[in-house]
Amino acid sequence: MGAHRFAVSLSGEELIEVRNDPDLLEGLDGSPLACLIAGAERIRGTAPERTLEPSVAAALLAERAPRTAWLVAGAPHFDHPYNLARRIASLDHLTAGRAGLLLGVRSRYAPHGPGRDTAWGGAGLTPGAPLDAATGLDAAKAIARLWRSWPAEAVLADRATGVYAAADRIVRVDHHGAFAIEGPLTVPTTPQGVPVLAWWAATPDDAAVGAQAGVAEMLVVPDQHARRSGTPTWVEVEICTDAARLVRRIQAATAEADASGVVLRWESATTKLRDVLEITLPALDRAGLVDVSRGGSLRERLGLPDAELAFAHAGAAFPAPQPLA
Amino acid sequence: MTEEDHVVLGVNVLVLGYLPAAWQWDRRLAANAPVDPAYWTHIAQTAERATLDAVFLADAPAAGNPAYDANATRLEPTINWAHVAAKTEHIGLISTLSTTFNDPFELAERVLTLDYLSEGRAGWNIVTSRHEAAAGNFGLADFPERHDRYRRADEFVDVVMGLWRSAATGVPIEHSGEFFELSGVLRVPPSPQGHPVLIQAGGSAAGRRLAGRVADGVFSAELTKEAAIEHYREVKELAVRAGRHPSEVKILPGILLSLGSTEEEARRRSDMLHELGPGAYSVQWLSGVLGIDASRLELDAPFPEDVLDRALDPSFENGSIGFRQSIVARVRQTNPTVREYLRETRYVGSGHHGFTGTPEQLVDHIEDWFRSGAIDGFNLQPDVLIDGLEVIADEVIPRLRRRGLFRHEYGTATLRDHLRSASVAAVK
Repeated sequence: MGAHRFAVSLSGEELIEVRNDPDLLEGLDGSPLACLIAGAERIRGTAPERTLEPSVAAALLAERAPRTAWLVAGAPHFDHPYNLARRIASLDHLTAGRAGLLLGVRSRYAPHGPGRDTAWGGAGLTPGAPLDAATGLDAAKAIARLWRSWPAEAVLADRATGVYAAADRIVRVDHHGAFAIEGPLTVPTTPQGVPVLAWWAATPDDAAVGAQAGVAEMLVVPDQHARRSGTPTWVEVEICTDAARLVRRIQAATAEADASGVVLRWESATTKLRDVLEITLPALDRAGLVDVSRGGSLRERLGLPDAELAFAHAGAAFPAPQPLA
Repeated sequence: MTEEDHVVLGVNVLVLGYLPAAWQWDRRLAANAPVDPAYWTHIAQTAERATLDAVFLADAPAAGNPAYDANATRLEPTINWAHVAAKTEHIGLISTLSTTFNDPFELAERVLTLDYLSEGRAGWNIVTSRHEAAAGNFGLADFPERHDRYRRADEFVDVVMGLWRSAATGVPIEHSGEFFELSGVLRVPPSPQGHPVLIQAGGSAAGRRLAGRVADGVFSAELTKEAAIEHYREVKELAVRAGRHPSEVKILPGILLSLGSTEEEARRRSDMLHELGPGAYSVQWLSGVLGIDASRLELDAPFPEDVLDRALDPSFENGSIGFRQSIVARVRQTNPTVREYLRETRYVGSGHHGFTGTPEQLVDHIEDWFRSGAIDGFNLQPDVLIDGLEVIADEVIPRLRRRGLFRHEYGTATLRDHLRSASVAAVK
């Protein structure tokens, strides 16, 4: 029975709380956690009363707590994969490689109306795609390619020739699936190569889709669906006040899935983040369950290998520049 | 000085500065400066030291060609400003976001989040996007026509504002229009300024109507003071017709800046920066804004009349109509050859109004346009930001303060209050 890496899942309500409580944020900054998950409630359960858009919230909080790393929940429901890919890549640059995306399919905050039960149909540009795991996987593929479309090595900044970038090394993705996206992205690859791409799997079927084709680097699954898969899996465990019971729950779920890590979650109405930091985590630590996460990048902290950056692209996006001088 | 008599000043952060060779200029700029968190923190803190009203980030959801131009590197604005919000306390944070390539619910949620997190400092610069490459990133075979984009923009803004109201009241909106049909409520807490500031960019008739109706500010393109005065009056009248006070909408044209301790030094700086970039750049630029192949124009002849006429035709789809109007007005004023025009634009601007000179001369210029009723302020666009903004903070702003034209410290907390604390020079 070994120790595990831990993450905590912060719903919108907790993001607001952390925003307004510097002590709490400092507690997170100094915690042994591998990462914080921002806004998972929007892709997993029912929508609580208050929330924040999680990518923007993470950008501010990560700057105030420079030792934290963030997985941001997102879905291609009313958020286009190009926009989502850009925001998370931007966040990864601004946090020096401490960011990733936890991709779901449906957002529980979506408004109602015609086209609103499709992926991106509510934007009024295209009919939209079915709101299912296949569409989510297609978004994941597009995002993974966009993140790789502009290799950082293409930036030369050569004052002698006046060439800023070997623009012919930047590539089109020409993705054609549930979404059609030409690319490239507006920013180069990031300090950790690419942001971490995690897949939220509410059911074993969703997990099977997410584990396909090596697109997602890790899965996050609720503990009742913990299974072994070929992809690093983090199990989500609901906190309970009885520490011994929580330890047993964690041990059972991690054994079932041969898990890489544990995501602690709770209902805002019944549990306070402060108690998680001051009571639950120390109790788990005393039980020998907490492996302190180290490393600068989110990838290192999650125990993930460097990402493969090569991919089957659609050719150069721009011509090769000629030296000016 | 009274707080009622000052100008509004923003800085349009065109990543490293508006000229493509900006990345070569200053040794402090690392190769990755456009995505370096320390760069953005430094820029925003310098702007805050100058007590500017806002930093303003242009954007398009498509990659430009960065071969010679680092400014093609574009972080997503709301993420960038959320990072900057953590490192600043007063300055407004304005994001350019497209009404064409977003879902209004998502945009409303995200910008209100930034507004809440920054304690009332967020603004949205409303654009319909004119970058054709963006269509290909959003599954559209053709770029939507201008007319459709403007109608969509009008409805989009109404939906966003309705959603922001729903965040404050908790009462869902029910919207049914030509482009959007939805019922829903935003769950983001309202910010200290109620909802984010709205800035309208561009000089089309539809854009000015939108500005008069809802905007807190207009980011316009003006080349001559005369045209600026005319447009200023037009938007203020539209605001009055929409039942608003004219001071509720601030007119802030862009101004391209090259500053030096003498006029000669400023011109030399501008020349050097232009010569460091690709020679074809200005011709490419002219092609882009006029929507023609400018390389086919005779360099030593005046602009052909049919090119100028076509540039003013609102049904002509290419380029920006606001830029085209301001360029044609300038060309008709002096009738230069194409070569003369391209050279002149180094010093006096093209599309946006330009200024090359000393800090003292710039302060004269700002005061002149302000007192003439042409502007409420400017959106400053330095050629290179990292040193240009320092000159603004250390040389320009203190002179403006001595003349009673700018705040000495922030006396207001939110972006909307920053804007409202400024005066309305022309309509007194």
